[in-house]
Amino acid sequence: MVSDRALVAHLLRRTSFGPFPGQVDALAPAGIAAAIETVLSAPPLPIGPPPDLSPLPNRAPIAWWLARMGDPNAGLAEKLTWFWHGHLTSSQAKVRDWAAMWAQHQLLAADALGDFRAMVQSVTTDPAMLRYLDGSGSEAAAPNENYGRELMELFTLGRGNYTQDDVHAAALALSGWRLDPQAPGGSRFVPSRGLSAPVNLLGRQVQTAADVVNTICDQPACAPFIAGELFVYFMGTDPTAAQRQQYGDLFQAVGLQVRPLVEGILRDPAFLLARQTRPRYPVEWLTAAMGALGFQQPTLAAQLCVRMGQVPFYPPNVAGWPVGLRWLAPSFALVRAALGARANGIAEVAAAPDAVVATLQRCSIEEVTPATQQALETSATAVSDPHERAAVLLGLAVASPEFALA
Amino acid sequence: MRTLRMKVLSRRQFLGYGLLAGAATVGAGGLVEVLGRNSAAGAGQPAPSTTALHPSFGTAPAVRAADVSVRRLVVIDMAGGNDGVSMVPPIGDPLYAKLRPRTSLDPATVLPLTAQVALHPSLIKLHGRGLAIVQGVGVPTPDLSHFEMLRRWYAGDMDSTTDTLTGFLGRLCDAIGDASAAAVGVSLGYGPTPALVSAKVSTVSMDPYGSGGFPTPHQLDAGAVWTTAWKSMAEYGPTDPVPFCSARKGAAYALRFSEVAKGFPAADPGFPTTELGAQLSLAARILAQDNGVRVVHVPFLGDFDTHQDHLVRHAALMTQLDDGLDAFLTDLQRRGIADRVLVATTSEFGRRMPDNASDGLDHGAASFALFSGPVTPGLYGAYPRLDALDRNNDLVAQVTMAQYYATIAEGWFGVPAADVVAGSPTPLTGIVAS
Repeated sequence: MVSDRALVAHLLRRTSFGPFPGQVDALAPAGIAAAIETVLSAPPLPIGPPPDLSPLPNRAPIAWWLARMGDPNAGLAEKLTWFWHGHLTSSQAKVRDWAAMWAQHQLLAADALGDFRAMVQSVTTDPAMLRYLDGSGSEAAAPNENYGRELMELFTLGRGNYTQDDVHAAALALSGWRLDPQAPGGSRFVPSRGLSAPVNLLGRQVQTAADVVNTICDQPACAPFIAGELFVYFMGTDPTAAQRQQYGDLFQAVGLQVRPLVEGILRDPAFLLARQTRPRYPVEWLTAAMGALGFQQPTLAAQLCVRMGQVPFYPPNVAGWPVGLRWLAPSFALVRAALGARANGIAEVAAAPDAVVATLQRCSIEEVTPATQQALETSATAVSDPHERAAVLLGLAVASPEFALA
Repeated sequence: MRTLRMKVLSRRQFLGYGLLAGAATVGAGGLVEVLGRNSAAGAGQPAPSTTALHPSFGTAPAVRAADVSVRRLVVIDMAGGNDGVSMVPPIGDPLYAKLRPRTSLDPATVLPLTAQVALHPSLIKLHGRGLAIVQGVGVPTPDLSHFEMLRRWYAGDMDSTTDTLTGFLGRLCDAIGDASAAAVGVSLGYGPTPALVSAKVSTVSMDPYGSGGFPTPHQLDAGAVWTTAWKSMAEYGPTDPVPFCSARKGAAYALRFSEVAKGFPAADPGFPTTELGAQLSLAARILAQDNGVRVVHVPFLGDFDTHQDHLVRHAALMTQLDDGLDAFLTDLQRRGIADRVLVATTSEFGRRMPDNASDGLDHGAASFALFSGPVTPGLYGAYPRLDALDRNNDLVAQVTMAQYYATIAEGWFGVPAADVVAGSPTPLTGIVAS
């Protein structure tokens, strides 16, 4: 029988960047069903004033986002904003304008649990995206196909659901936009550079960017594609054909509203069974690990992000960050060891009568394998000084296979 | 710098918007018809000749390859779509400038190869050393998606017909490597490359800016306790659930490889401080000894996806390649292993022949690849015809991915191509200088 504590820890690993010390204690007594509803009804964390948005080499926004992830009040809305950042991708490496990246961040946060179609409409003419996927300055005479292709391949439909002719048609109808700091929203449409007559996209006549997005979102392939991506994000496993159909139909039926889809997934009995089925992605791992270790070090967090290949505002390519077991490869074990090796002996563990129990509780490891349990107990016996013992145990725990998984 | 700007009509403009249903009837010569040229009158490229190489190309003393049993491979992966035509411009073909009014290179600046074909101006040092240039490398049925083509190249599955879980380089490691080695293949970067997924031997990834050593706590008593605990948490077996097995295996290989990394020699200070420079510097240190590593994958991490501002961006990448690879070859010579390391480049596709209004180039098909090290300098394969583009106005492959990989497997390692690549591809001959 799996404990409510274990289920709550799992819920928090999937719907936040924690759990942080004390959160399982707070939620578990009311039971997992209540915990799910608490998570679903929690308000978004207010965004507040922007960080320093001065040009590079300023990197304050990265630290801002990492600190936000480490806020125990960050929940589902923030987890989804992160998801959209890795899905409707733009990277500061190419955009090179923090104000634009900040504006895009707010756009994604505003609709993170809202209207998917509206989000894609906004992001299509968003200045950061126009720069990232070369939409700015694209002219109908010889349009740049980058955004049109990635919009369909990666953002909305998936391969096999459009043709190269559709890519070209989309590129034509998306042309005419350019960056303009004076314009509302930072971009504007120049009619003489856009289409003067409609073209055929996926069987419909389109002439504007709005037409393109509407046509694409109306495609039968769109809802199951997005539902499938969100399923993988929360379930940690690939959907079966039946699940893809089920959640695709649901997303379609609710008019591509994200909240009801996420509610459906989290309330699915399969969700509570899918524990530790995927790696913790780097930002999840390092945020939870630093919380467990009691570190408030934005510089260290940013360095770890770089070493693990997952830096906020810097997706490696337009497909975002990959999913899958590759996040458990040897180079990541080295980073986990490097952070764990820096652990200090936290008082609550050093003073506890059973240091191993206190360590596991501090790290919210509610289901532990015999191998890890044994390694911790052997280590506890081998180190006599309570402070050193606590440091070693905490370091081993955040680097353990259990902690590496979500 | 060229200022001639000729407006090139795209095939679709000629046919008119909204009449794309007619586009399917345009044949391979369609673009030439649009431009009004006489496509029948020998407008194509003469076959380039390796006997007419410019004397300034490949003037460095030749290096003869060592015995197969000690050979190693470095693959420089120019992911993003390296424009082969800019790397090896066909300056003898008038169609080059016609199709690329915004992005063709000034013939006065390029480095000479033959009367028809040159090398990018930035590749100065490599031009002097000599390269085996493979022209028109691609696949029979190209796809314009980065992710699909990267998948095919990493998997060594050019027709996308297999469901292989292993990578081409991983299978190569399985064929040539020692299963007891801590690693036979190493990918540099944050996380493994699919190219190196193997079935029998170990392959690992390594942070190019790290030492590979295993971190231990600063507390004095704790080192041995820590390592013991790590080793027991890293024991994996067939009864482990898959994610736990992966987590433990990752730790186990990190521990073993760290032992090997302790023995890497110091870095050569002569490398440029670029991503590629750092990666190649580490590659030289990894391969310097007989530690079991035979293949290193170098991800370059340059932005080759030049949909905009192609000329300037591509030139910077070629400069990085020239500086980094030259420093690497010098380092190998200094370490006495220049005869046993082959460098091969890959890129998932080249770029479209006609340029776009953003001074850029969209995704294409065939590209060009480079071999350096103990090779016979020259041009191999055949230059894809600019007057015989495919229906997307892209270059048609003259050497397939399978043939290219077969060349590496058989020509360099003596591994039968059929063991590592689907089909029965014929390797190119004469490249390895033995």
